[in-house]
Amino acid sequence: MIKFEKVSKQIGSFALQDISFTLPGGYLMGLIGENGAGKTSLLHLILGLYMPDDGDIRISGNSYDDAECEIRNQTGFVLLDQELFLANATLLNNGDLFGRYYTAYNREKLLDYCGQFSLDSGRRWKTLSKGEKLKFQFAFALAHEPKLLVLDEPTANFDPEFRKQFLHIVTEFISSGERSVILATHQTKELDQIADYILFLHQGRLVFSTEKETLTDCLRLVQGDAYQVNLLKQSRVICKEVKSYAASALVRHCAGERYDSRLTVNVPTIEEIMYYLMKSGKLDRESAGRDVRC
Amino acid sequence: MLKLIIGEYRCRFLIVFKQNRNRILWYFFWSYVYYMLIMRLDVVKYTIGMVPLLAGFWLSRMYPNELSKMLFLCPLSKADRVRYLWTAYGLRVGVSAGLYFVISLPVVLSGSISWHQYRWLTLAVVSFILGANMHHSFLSLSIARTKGDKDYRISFVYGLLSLSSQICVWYIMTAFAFPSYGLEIQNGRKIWIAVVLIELLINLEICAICYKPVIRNGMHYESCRMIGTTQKNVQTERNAGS
Repeated sequence: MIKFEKVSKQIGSFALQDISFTLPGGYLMGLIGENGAGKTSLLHLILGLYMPDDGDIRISGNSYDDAECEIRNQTGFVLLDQELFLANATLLNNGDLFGRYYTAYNREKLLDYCGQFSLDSGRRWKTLSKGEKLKFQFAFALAHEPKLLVLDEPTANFDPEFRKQFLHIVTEFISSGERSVILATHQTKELDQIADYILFLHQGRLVFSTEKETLTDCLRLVQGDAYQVNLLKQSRVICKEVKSYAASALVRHCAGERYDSRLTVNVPTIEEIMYYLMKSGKLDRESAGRDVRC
Repeated sequence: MLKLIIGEYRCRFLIVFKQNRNRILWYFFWSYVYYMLIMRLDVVKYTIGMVPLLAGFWLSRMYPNELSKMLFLCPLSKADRVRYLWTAYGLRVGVSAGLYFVISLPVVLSGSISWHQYRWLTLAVVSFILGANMHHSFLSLSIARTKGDKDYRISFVYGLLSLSSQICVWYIMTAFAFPSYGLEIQNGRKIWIAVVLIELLINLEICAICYKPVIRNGMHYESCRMIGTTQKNVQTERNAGS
């Protein structure tokens, strides 16, 4: 569905460098990284707002040079931009005005989603709250039946109830096996639940892009008394955090590996992986790639 | 398309007006109120030309030749994008020129100015509106373009021409509305017509040479936004340096 090959892009003083990854159809990729890591810039490249300086981007096998209209027709988006739609126009008018450029735009579907998301389609865009604007963008994206959804940190502004509904819709969306989602977020708990792939960016560089299962298979979070954690094989420890008595460490794990019974061993969450990797400073692709592989 | 553009312009009016308020007010007081008072210009003559000129100038500042982010994201064909840019350009020119004809025709019909003068004044006003609305956000001395940018030279040279056009049009309007007190400046009318012709040529040149790069820049999200990024970077570097 999405294929990046050695993509680089200079944006002012910031640069995305040598990004390569693949997201097959039918999967959800979580895009993580600290603020300013380049998540939104990467999404802008996927959306064809930025063109790469180097490398190749393919969406469903097409490039923006050859089939821009086709790609855009099949791409839905939710962006943090507050001024995307016309401020004084109603939601329905906005939907109709921009929807007519999409071949599969369905007005009834938009109204249906607006109803499901408790949005009054007669309200003007400018009267919506931040969360409601994102909800409408999501409804509009779904109303033109895209094959790819590009979501830029939408969940932080959703109420807990809608967040559940959102995750449910997104999971349903990819269930056919032909459609994909790329979701940039800081709410990594959601990615623990629904992501199939994780892409970690740091200062414009790709730290890793891998299946979530690989992460959960290859890494363990070990906690216990400091002296017990210190006894772990140093070559397996990616990062260790020692407090006065207790300590914890993110370690490489192989199937069948045994640990001291006094240690607590858990599968780390994505947030923990991100935290320990950043703390370790091993954020170049080679070391991180080695760490997250069995 | 026209409905969409009118809707967009209407929705963005207050926002862009607030962004450009200081510049708009400065131009208004300096080129309209101040000159009219200080030079004791003929209010009617000065107003029928200067108000539409300022309207055209402000519209070009408020609504640059570019698509909104939403339209970049929609599956518009290249032909649709070009059509959008041309329609938007036509709308801005149409509104300003329409304003000129609405306020000037009654004055001409009442006999306050001759048809001969009106013809030349119309050429000056309409050509300025055409030129100003063509170049904004592309031709500007203040836009930091790098030397590697293929529009670097054309932007700089035509930025200078655009500035010359503004000086010409200011002279045209001042000389046009200057009370004669029964005296006639030697060759005054010939000079005035010559300046109108210079201004006309400058703006025709701007329209003829710049429309391709303007459309090329307006059609790509990056070209429209990168200029802003570069400006910010230059500003940041200057601040850091100081």
